[in-house]
Amino acid sequence: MINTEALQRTYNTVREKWDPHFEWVVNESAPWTPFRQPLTQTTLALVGTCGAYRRGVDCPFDAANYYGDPSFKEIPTDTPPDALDFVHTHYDHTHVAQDANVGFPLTCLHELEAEGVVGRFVNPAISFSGFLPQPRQLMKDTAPAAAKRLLEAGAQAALLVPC
Amino acid sequence: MGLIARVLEESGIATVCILLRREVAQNVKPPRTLFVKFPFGAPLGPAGDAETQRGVIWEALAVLANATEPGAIVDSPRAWKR
Repeated sequence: MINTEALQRTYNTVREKWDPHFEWVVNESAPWTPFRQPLTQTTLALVGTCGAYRRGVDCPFDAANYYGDPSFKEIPTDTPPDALDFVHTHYDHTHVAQDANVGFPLTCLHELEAEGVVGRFVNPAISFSGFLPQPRQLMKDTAPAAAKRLLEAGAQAALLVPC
Repeated sequence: MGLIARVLEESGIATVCILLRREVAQNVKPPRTLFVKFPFGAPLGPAGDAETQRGVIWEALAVLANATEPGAIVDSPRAWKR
């Protein structure tokens, strides 16, 4: 594992405040799906972990839970960015509160689709809330369910935006 | 973020992650990463700066298209200006 002062500080804070059993995930290798086709012919999905949800439509993420909320929202890609709110207690919301595209770039991906840079912007986009000190349920249940949903929607590739 | 990318990739969806901590990418090993030196809460740049948002996304799509090895990490040349 590569450790740094910043990682150690985060580790200590998470253990002290929220989860005394927190450990960083360390992997020895990465999975790989070859990507050989032109972007112009690619169906591209957006996956965000800023905690975006549709105000007044979706049940917000459970940000008060010390262990986070591993669920995800399906965000129709025609959702106006200003109809989004963000639930996530572990980052400064100054920028996303003013401009949802900073964390969930629906507008830019629509533009790239309209310009033919990417073949198609997959509907729906997927939103997670990214603080999960115990990621077992994410890995076992909710992330595979999101993958299944995206495959059903025709996704060949995905852009993942953090918070 | 990286963990979700790994699950999608294992399902047959090619992924690229934008990440704000290089060492997390090194440890978690998502398939393809663009590392951006922006603060948490502004992964694509400052609010209202559509040009920067688009630029970062372009860089990430280039990583998607050009990376050849699992676990690839590309450093964005961008610096936070505020």
